[in-house]
Amino acid sequence: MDRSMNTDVRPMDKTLTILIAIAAFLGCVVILAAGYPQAVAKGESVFFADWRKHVIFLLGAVWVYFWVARFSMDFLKVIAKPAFYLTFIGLILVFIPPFGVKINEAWRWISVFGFTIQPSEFMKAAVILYLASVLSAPVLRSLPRPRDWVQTVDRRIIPFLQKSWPYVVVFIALVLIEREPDLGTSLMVGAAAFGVLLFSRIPTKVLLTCLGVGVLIALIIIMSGFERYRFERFIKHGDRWNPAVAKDIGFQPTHSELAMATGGATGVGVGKGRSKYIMPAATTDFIYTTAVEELGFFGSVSILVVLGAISLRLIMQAATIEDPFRRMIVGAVGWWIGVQSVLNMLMAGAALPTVGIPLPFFSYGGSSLFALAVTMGIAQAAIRGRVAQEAKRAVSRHRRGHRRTRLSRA
Amino acid sequence: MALVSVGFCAVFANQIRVQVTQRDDIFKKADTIGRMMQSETLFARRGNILASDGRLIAASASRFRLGIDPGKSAMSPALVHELSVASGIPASELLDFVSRKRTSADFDTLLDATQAAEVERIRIRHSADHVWTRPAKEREYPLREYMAPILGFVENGGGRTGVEKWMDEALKGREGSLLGMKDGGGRFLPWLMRKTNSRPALDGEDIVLTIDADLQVVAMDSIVRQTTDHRGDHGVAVVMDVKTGDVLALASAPTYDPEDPSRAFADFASGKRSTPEINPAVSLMFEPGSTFKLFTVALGLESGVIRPNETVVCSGTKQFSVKTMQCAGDHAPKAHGQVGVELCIAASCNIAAATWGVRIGFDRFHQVVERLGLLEKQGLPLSPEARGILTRDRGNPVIQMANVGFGQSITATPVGLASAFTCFANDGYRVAPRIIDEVSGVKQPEAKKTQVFLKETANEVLKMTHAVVQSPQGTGYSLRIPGYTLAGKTGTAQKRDAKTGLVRSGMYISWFVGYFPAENPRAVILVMVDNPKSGTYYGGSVAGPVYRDIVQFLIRKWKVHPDRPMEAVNASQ
Repeated sequence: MDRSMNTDVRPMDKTLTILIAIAAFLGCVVILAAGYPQAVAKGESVFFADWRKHVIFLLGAVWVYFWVARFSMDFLKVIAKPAFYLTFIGLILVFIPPFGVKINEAWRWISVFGFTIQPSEFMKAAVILYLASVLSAPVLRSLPRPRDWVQTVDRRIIPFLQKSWPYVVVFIALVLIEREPDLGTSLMVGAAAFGVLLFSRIPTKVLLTCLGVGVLIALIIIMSGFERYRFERFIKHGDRWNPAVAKDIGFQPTHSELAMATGGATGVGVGKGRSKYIMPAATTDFIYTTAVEELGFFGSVSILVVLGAISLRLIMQAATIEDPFRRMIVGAVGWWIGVQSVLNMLMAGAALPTVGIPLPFFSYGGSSLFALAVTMGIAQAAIRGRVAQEAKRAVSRHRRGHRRTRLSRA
Repeated sequence: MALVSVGFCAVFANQIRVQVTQRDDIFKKADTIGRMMQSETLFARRGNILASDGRLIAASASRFRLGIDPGKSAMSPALVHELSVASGIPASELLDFVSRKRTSADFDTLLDATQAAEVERIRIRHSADHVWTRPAKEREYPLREYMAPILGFVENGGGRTGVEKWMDEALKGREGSLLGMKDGGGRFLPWLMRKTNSRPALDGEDIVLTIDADLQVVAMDSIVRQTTDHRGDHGVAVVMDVKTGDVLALASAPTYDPEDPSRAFADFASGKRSTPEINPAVSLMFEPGSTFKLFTVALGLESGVIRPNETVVCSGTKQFSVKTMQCAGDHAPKAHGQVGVELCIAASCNIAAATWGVRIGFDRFHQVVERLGLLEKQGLPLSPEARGILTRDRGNPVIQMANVGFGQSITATPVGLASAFTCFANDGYRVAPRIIDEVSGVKQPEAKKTQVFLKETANEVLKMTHAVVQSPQGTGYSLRIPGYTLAGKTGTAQKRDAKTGLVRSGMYISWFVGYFPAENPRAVILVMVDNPKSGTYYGGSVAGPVYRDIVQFLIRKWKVHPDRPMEAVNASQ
């Protein structure tokens, strides 16, 4: 049977859509709750401009989600490479001034038609799509043993380079993001890429090697002291309550920890949180803090459960899909959502040193919202496994012919 | 899948740790770095002091200065910029200061309260401990040295002397405090306030004095001029309302600038003046001299010791027990001849007064002096109060009573005397002095009145005082004001040595106590110049002119009509 002839076509995963809707709705509420004090202090209304933007973007994102969810597998495979390289170019453009915009000492955004877009957020989806398409492509048959150096280049070196090129280009993308600088997103793109590998059924040996190399590089980047503050965040994390540290790099984790402790089991009550008046990233990296402070266990557990459900639902779905391309996409998306959520919540809870990682569905951010919509749409499309119209017709023709044959035989 | 599940379980476990198990531990740690409850002092505004005419004479200044200690910590460009915007000090000046200076200093630019509050917010936001604001001037005294003897001044937030010190409790108010949790900008979050531990600041109470600011200025000008011209140690001029006891003016010399009292303290340290911390009108005792004869005569008449139309022969000197008393003359003791009570007052005859003093005796005198309130504190919140002294001299009662008869061997404070002299203008009632009229809008109790003499006696004595100025024989004849009847009594006491307690020749105290208007007086005016060293020391010449200056002002202020023909005044003094 033709590999591309996918027969495992499913309906859209309604449970997943409902979970996503719950998360998105809670996200709206929590962003409003966590963001209004500092907006009001700047003279804005309670329903501050960024929140209104978020709600409008969310409507767009919903449309994007359902639109992408209709993509066929053939189409996804076709666009995988172009989408990846387009995003890759975006990663380079952020450093080039007419396109790239420097905000808060970082080159993360490109300005297009008056919108600022953060390509690195879209890189998560792009990397999953790209690696999944590469790894699901037919494996090259092993070539006969080379007899001279020309044949060695032909049969060994070139195929090796071809095989390793995707890893290299993904690594370059990670480096580019890290240099923006945006270590958090770089790590998350890396996690997404690793997620694809996890569900690719490549040998565990290769998997562990990738993981080892990735972790090693990340540690080197952090520990080299290349960026002083990152190094100190890691070194002094355990000492964060020391007065000098708490004033400086321990400021966010200690305030977040204190806020969560203040919330305790019951929470201080909606609107009565204090951390959102103090913390700089109250609506982004530390949005979990306000939810926990104001709602106590209800806040911490409900968010944890919703995100965990989305992540595990995707991973469970992946386990039932035989087609490697679809399986890798669904699994990697689930894995990535899980890793990013867990890391964000552990950082907000001061169990880990702070690296700017947003909480999926909850943290404010236009690009990350649309990227998330695209990613979830792709995952949904992969669960459905639709085939393109021609392919479908071909399938039905094939089936019809088959049946007819059978019938004639009968 | 297992991995992700483990991750979410780890999150849950961490939330348990933060929200439950290590909760108190986190609170404790946060408390040690000041993240939990923070307190803030709310400063109370010090009460203003107003004159009776509503003029502000002591006001709380709300000017601040920005200070920086550049040696302590670096200043970020953002901090410098924000400070510049908030304070109005050019950023270039701030940067220049930060780069050059090594020691802390305050900027000269004065900030108002809003600017200072903004700087305070910036300070908190940047946790810049090396930036501060502090009050530039604690207190403003628009009338400066004219009010200093009454008001005193404020030092380090508390009154050092004068009304500022003795009414400090009411003026300073009560500091408030706030306890609670703050937001990132250093503002308290209302629902995280510890209400029971927070209390608002109570501003100090405004005080209205009985002092008339214009009259005080006139009295101060005059007494300072006379004291300086005659090189006196102290000068006092008290103007009291005879009916209510309100002190309308309380001038004293020397004075000082209450906004910069350091010079006065330096002069005190070098012995050039007495300490600015006391007001001679209430803190020092003086022998009242001949002004006291008014009481001698009144007491003599009322007790029947002096028979109607009785005269005493004055030959200039007279022997009392072992001591010879004399009447002061220009070169030799002055003989007054046949002296009745009127002449005794007008010409100030010591011999007559001494004779009657001996006859009255200690007990009767002491009783009256007590009723006059001379032996008690007057209750004015100005400086440590002294009280007069009249103790029985066991050794020689005759000499003592002869002395007391013309106002020696007895001491009193100038304010006490002014109050005592109200009795002649008030139908025999003595009115206690009163200087605090209102405290935060509440009228203070009226002055205590004590009957000392009968109405008839008082009026009779008051009548006699007219002659002191109006009669050519009078010791204050030179003080006349054309068209107006003046009334008073001069006094020239001999000053005792502070150490030995013996009368020293060449040291005098010049007195003048007068009333105005002469008929139905409204004010008693007591003037004293302590130890004039210019060669002139008679009460009429040294203290009297101050009385005349004050009366001239009161004529205009009260619009008093002339009560007698405008006879020419020859004496130019």
